[in-house]
Amino acid sequence: MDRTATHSNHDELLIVRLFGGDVDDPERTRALDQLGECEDCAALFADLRATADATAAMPVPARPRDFVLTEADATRLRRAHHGLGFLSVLRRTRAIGGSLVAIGLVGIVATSSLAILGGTAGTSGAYAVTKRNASELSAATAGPATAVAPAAMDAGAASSTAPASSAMKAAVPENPASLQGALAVTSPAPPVPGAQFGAVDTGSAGNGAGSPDGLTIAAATASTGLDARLVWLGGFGLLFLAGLGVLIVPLIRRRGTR
Amino acid sequence: MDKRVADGQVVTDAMAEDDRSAARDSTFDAALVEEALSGRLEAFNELVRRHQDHLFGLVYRLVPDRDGAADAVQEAFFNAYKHLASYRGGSVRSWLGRIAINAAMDMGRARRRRPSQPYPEFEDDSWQPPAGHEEEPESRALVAERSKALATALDALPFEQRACIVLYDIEGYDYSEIAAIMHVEVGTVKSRIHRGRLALRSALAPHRELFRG
Repeated sequence: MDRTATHSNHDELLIVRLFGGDVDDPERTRALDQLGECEDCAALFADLRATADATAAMPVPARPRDFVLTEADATRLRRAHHGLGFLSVLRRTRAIGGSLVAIGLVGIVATSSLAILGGTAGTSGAYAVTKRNASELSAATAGPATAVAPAAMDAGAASSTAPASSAMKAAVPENPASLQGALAVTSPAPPVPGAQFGAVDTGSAGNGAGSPDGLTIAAATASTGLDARLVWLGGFGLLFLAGLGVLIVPLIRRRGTR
Repeated sequence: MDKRVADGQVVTDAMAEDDRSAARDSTFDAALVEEALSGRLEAFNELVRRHQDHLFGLVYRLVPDRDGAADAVQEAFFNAYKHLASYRGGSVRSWLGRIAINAAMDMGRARRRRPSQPYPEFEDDSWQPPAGHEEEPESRALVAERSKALATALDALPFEQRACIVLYDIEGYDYSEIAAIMHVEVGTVKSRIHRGRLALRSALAPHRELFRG
């Protein structure tokens, strides 16, 4: 067997560990045997010694400056050290800051998404309410009011409600008590037949044509939903900003202390 | 040379004198820390003057860039001043060394993100290591060549391996001290040193004649 082949069976790391004094007695014996019988292992050991000696003897250039502290340095460092308690508290709250930012961001996105979807959803809900109320109204008045509500919910067709409303208006006097019950939900004004619709539907008040109670409820519901969303949006925005503040303030202070 | 045996070890007078000198230095350092704690900046600056060369030498081997090493040493002294109260006795030199190594590690991590030319002064052919009074020009040239090759090989090592080798071979810390400084297990330190040595040897294979004889 040639020299290289013999050495390839040897554990080089064992020789390195022997050099570092990191071997137990059996390992030391094995390593010394390897060193005695293998020239490559002996060369490895010699190289390790030479490299370690050269590392220790590596020259170091002269330091480029004096590192003494000036009075200004000392004052700044003392101040920074006093602020350290506050900083450490802030550091501990870094996780809280991150959480606030995350919650705020998710909240803002969710609320905004709901606002977009809510436009459709809210309309559908209002439509349902309107349709139901219109049905009740229809039942109460026995008139052709069911056709009114879908038409009323078409935002671009406010004027198209006029004929239907007129039809309803015509039907109202037949059962005013029932209608009053239905409208009491949204209209605090006394249910004066013919006049109350004009009061809630400002768009068509001029010509005396009012919307049905369903439209009033839909408008009120949409308005309340919008307000609530704005409140949520504001709340999440504040959370986001507060979290951002908690995260940024320590960074600014740390930069200031450098 | 006078010799005597203490605790089974041969102790020369020179070694004993070195020990006494080290003890005196340590006491003096501790006194300076006390004075600095009472607010006397000049006492702290005296500590700086006493240890800045050693710390710069240590950090320079970890952060092979003169300006980067200087910044790390300055940061280390700033940190030492800020945390003077955390000094719990013992060797001030070791305490400062630990702070400097931490600063060097921070600098090393930053450098890893922004790699630069290691040991730029070795690239300059006009640079020569500080001359010892007994050294011949050939010898100085050999040392410069060797240092250049070694510096390049050292810089090619992962920072953790380089730091462990420098602390062990140059600073003379033992495995457990290095483990404490680097906040890792002793086994990890040993492994980093052993594997680092093998990697160094491979990297230096083309320059082997510089290190033999």
